[in-house]
Amino acid sequence: MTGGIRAAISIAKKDLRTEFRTKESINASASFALVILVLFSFAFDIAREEFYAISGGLLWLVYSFAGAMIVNRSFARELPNDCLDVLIASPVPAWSIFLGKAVAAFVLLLCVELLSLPVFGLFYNIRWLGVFWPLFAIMMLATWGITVVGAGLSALTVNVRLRELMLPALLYPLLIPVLIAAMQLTTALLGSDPVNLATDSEMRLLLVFDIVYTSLAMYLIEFILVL
Amino acid sequence: MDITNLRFLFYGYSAAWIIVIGFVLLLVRRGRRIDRELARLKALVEDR
Amino acid sequence: MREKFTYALGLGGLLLMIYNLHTIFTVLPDEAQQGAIGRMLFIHVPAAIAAYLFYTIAVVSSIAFLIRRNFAWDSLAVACVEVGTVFTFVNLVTGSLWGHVIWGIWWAWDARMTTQLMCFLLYLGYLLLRPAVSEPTQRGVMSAILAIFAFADIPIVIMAIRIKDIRTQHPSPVLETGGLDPTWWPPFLIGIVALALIGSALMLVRLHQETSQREMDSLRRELHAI
Repeated sequence: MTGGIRAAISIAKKDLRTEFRTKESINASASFALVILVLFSFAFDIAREEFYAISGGLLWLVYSFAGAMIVNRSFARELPNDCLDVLIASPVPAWSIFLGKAVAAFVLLLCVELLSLPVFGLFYNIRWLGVFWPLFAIMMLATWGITVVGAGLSALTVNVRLRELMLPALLYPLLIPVLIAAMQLTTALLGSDPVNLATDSEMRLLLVFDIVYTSLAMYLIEFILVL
Repeated sequence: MDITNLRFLFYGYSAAWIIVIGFVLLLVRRGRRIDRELARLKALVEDR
Repeated sequence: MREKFTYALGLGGLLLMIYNLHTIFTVLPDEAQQGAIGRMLFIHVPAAIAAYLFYTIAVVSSIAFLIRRNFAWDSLAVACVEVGTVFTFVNLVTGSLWGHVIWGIWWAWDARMTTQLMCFLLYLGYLLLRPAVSEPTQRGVMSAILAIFAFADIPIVIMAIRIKDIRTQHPSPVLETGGLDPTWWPPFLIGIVALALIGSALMLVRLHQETSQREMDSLRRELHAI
């Protein structure tokens, strides 16, 4: 167990190191997030007060688009030079490969989210600094939900034709509960509605989703990677 | 009101049947293709 | 034998359905508040129940495939998902037509409708994924895992939507409240049985096709080997 976790940490470290050296997916997904943020300002031409009502939805749409781009590369980056086969053949349990990949994707997506949040606040005059910590808690839970499902599907579709098209088609329907909960909570927070995170049922829902899919994916990854 | 009511009821039931029949037609077409292909392949295997 | 059994199932379902239609349209009175359109219940709800029945069989056989690696389970799963998706579509379309009359709109983003739509999309993804993978074992494993993922998502979606939208316009499910007139129960239950029978017949046809498809693939490989 501890060995598996140690292996997971080193895989996550390796992924993050290669990513921060080349910055291929983080650059792409951060700039993509920015472009979408700008596009939204043309899509919705409304007063600032009303904007709060859709702010959570917009923010999480941007994040989920960025997330799909990041998890798309998660397992696909191991394909050149047959790195994936070597990883699978190495004496490391399948779940720790998966966990490492998911953690790396989680950190990357969180980076993109933290980068685009100030831009979002700036463009749309949303005050988010006052509620940063509760917002950050939501972001942690929902982002883990996105990346754990995303990394699982990334492993699933890594050898599929049209992988780039297939992954979003499978990912978004599965993510609907996470996105609903995160959007509602974020909108409430930004609109300065009182939200008690400790007792909120949507917060619990995010937690349930994370637990269910983390355990499902960690258990089933064995079947995915070792066919 | 009652006439539209009945009309939409009719639409509903016809839609249900049309969807199911459409699926059946799809199955029949696929079945024919598979049967044809299977016969062809079996003949090929026997030829060899 | 197999074909006869399939036809018998289908024919039985069809006859039940026709008998049921006769009861629904000529014997039963109009629903007090909704008028004639209330009869949509007899196709709308059975379709949803039958769909869930097939999805449940699909997830069970997906798990069985992962454990046993017997391709019969994979075929059963895909056959069930396909029939379930067709029934979900019937459920959505009839519901939408009913909503157009009663609510005046085609679609309300209400809890149960959204859940059904999500189900439809999830299983559509499943059916899209299958043709994209050519290696049979890989295809089986992938679709089995996706079926399990999708099935686990359904209760969470229901939870999410119920939190969000308490004030629903959708009538409470008859199975939860039991608020259905005694004379309406028999055609309702017969409707479920009839659709389940028709669905099983379709499912068996699809199952057979999947088996032939696999036979075909092995023949192809044999030909290549020669």
